[in-house]
Amino acid sequence: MNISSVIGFFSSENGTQFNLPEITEILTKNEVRRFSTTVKYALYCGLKCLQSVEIGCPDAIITGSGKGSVRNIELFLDDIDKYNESALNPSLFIQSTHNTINGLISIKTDCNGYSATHVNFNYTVINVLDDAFQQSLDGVTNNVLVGFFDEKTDFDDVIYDIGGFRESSGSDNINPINWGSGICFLLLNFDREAGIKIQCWNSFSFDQYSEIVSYIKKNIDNHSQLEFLIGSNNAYEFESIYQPILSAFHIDNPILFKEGLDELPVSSAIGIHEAYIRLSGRENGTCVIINHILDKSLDVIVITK
Amino acid sequence: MISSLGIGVEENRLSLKQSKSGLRPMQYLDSVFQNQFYTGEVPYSTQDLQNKTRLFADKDYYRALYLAAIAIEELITQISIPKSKISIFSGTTTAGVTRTEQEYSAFSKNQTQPSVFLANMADCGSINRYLIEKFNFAPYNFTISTACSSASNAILLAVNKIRSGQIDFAICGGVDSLSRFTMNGFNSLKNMSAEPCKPFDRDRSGLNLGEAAAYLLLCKSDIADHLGLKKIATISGGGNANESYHMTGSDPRGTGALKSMERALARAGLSTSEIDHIHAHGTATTDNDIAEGNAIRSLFGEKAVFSSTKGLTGHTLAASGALNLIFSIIGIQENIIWGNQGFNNPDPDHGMIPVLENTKVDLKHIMVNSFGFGGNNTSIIISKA
Repeated sequence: MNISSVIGFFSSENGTQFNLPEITEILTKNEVRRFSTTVKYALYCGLKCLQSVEIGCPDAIITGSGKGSVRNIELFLDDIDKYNESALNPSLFIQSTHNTINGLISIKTDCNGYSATHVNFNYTVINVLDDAFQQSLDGVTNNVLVGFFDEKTDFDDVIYDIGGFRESSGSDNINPINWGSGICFLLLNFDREAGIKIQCWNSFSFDQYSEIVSYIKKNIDNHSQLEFLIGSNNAYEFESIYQPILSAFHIDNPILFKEGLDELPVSSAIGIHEAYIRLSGRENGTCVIINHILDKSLDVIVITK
Repeated sequence: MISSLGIGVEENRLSLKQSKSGLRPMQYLDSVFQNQFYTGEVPYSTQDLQNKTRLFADKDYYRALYLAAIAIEELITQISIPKSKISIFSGTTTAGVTRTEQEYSAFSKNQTQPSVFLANMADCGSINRYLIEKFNFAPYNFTISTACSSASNAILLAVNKIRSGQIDFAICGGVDSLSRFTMNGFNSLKNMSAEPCKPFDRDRSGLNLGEAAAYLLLCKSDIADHLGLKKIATISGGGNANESYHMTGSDPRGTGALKSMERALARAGLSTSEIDHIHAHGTATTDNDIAEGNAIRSLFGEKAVFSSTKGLTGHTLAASGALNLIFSIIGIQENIIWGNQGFNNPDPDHGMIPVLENTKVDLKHIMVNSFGFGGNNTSIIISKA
């Protein structure tokens, strides 16, 4: 699968820093006013991704989110309590539907093709790539607009704290992770032309060290321009997995693609975004993305040019 | 499977054959709508459902997981395949929202700390995570959330993964439980009915929400033959289409429904004349029934043979595609088209009349429709094995 275009925005400093784009160049004032933050910025990103390669209508739209549209769910639950289950505004409910972003992009682009939304926490990014590839096998899809989004709420902070999965200021938390928000869209095409290509993608469990090394070796053919992008996020107890893999490839200085950014269930998309940018300026090369989400699984994605 | 018609395929089969409705005033969900709206509620408390599963008694999980576990326990007792070779594909829209709404409400009102448990459990993917852990399924899994077409899309993806040889076995389907979140959501859209719903009827007054879990085991025919597995039906094809019209409403011409049905036929290599019955989405909302009625008429003609079972189960949201697929398989086994409860008068907006009573017919191919918010339309054709 070739990547034609990438656009992404990721938060830093526990969700406090987020360089969001000016969206009114594409969205109407009404859309900017009506839609929740994640919905409108994701809609902008998806449309901007298509616009950058002059594609008006994708053949298919597939999105993924680790936890889905949680902010709208919480706001609607607030309303349920506040108004004692009566006279509620349906807008929050409608926008809490996890495939809202797909639906809006399809309306704006007149896309009648395949549409799916995956909401599967740590498996989401690999699921979406798998589904996009599956569509190419049917032979009727030449390109797929692929999007990832996650948003953090105050309630998320509390439950990540309680679960021991978040940095607590002033505490000795052994898992100092900042959770945040992010949106990333890619346009994938299935042309045979040379370009930046997602060579392979897979999820592994933490005990599959040898399988991971074999998998990477099998899928890289250019060792001279090889870079490893690893998803270190300071959660030290989960990060011992990286060192033996890096040693197997004699890598001393991997790129820490989440450095300075917040963690997301779909953070492997940050790695794809970073790999695309790095490879765009070169004639050739290979980026191996290895990313863990808590201790649940390890994504391996190889991107080549 | 589990629905308001019963626990397991045989209880559901019996209720279908007797046209025994599972719609009742809602009893178990803690909501101001208790005893107000008719729903297809599974007639057990969450505690009772937990007690019915063998594997989730260690701590409090959530209603949708218990429903899924009960359905899958029924399924896997019938097969001898190593569980580690089975991938799971689930469709769900809300998963553990019943637990989230309790804990979020307490946090929001009183700053009550949520449980440690919630950190790992409420998201859509948690259904598969727990099922994989307890049943030892393969880690390769998918969770699709495309509103009311979720289960159908999960099944279609599983079919494609098997067809392309990437996996050998899939348990696929969907689950959703009743929740305050969805009750209030659909009520805010003003499409809930206080009486049993009347799909496709001129005087319909909206939908009844329901809850269910429905899962199927899929594998290639030759593998089933090799292992001596009983083949109960074949998925001949399926199609998905974006309608690209409105976030919650359907194009009254049914353009999205028409495309998904056409794609399913093309994929199956079948013509409209070979489809013996259309198991309609048929939610009894104004939007759905006009759009689907017009799409069916446009593709199959005025004499199309179709019906909806929402008048028995209510709309089970993400589970509905899988539930209707299993109902259609039972229909093929029994050679019965399930009657469309609640219909009295044709709607002048489409003029179509569904099959009203359970009707004996030789059934080979049934088209099963599922349509969701966001214009996500999916049709699957199930055929006699």
